[in-house]
Amino acid sequence: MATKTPFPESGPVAYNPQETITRERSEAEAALRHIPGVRGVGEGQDAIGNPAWIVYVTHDAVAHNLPRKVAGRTVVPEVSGEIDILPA
Amino acid sequence: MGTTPRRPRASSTEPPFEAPPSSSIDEQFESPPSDQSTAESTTDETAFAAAYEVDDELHQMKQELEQRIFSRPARNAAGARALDVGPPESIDLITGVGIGPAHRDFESVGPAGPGAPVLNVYVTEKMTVDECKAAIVDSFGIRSLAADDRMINVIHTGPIDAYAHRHRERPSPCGISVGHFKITAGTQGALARGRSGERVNRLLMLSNNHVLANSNAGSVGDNILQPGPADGGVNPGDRVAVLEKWVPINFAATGANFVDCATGWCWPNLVRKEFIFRSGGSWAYFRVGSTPIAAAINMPVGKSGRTTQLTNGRVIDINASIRVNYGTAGTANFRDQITIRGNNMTFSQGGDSGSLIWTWDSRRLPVGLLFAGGGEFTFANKIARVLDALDINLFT
Repeated sequence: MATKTPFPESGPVAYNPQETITRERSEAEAALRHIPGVRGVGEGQDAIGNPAWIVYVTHDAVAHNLPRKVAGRTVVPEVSGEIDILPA
Repeated sequence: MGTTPRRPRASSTEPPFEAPPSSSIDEQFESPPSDQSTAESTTDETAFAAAYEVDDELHQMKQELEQRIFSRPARNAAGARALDVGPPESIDLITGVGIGPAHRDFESVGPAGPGAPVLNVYVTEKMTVDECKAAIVDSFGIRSLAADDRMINVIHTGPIDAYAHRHRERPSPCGISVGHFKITAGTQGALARGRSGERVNRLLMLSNNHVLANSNAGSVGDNILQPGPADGGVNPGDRVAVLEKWVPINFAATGANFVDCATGWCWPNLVRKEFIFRSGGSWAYFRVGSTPIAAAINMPVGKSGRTTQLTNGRVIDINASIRVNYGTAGTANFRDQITIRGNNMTFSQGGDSGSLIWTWDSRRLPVGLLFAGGGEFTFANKIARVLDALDINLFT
């Protein structure tokens, strides 16, 4: 007779959702993510509320080297430094 | 407490939105299985007194002073500071009392000699033994302590403030320090229950993989402590849950992660669904909604976390792809994340990982699960993805 595990339905579980990536997004990531000092690319707004690419960079100097526009949207650099998990 | 698993309820239907009060939580859920009882930390004053040969008179004096200190009228800490334009009143000078060996100040060594126990008196201002005795007489009217042969050890601490949400609390509220027994500390994000199968009867704690599952290194049944080990949580005495489920972090250079999340299976009587925050000089609690809402640009949001406590900010990005450092575990790519910038304040710091992020309005609807930060930015998983990945609903 099989012994019942004390923790049924527990343990690691994979999560691999299907993601739809727009052509513009792919173009923006291809143009920006491989620039040294870029730590991320996202979607937000520029200073006047238009859709923009938010680019997370390690230093001010990196921000100055980014293109001003990609795939029809303004590039808004934000200096995040390195991005770390936040345990104590 | 007993740890024998309860039989599941006959019905496994979802509770109504307005969940029953906290006091009845333990009647709805099954406790985790365990091969050992959850030891509750206790202070054995009798054993201490015997080990250090504390005489009855000293013990009595300590209790008398303790009673007077604790029975002072409550003051609003912020108000006290705002009025702090002159010397503090003598009643504010004495903040604590204890018993310990005289070792730092030879003036306090009594007839029993160095190392023998004396009364420790904690004070906010630097002062001599005589000044301290005078303050005790003025503030509390205890003249017996002022006698010349009564030795006291004056310990200058300054004002003693509560240390954020890092203390031990039962039942443990959301927004407070927790952690896998091998990590430092993170935050108890929210309570939840499984959507199907036996997990419907489990009361679960939601936080990050790197808080509850030690960044993939944990095993099912590992102890989760409140407070987390960095805040003094002791294994197994401070256990409130055991590791139940987690989504592994993919550290491959070409990998893509969407969530950093895990659940702990809680002892229902050791946790509560309310969120802690500091109101004036004391702790207060609030609840959040249970229906998730999608993040939107400029959405005002808040969180209650272990380190920065209650903060608010605004969503500035709803689809961030970022590269995140996990220390020695490696670096991981995350897609479809939310970015938050604090409103004239730091939204998060180390120790806030695992905090639930909710709309900053009266509904307080769940938006994200905080997990990373860089500069003035905080990054969070979308809460709908977290709930789907772990197959849970929030229990708020």
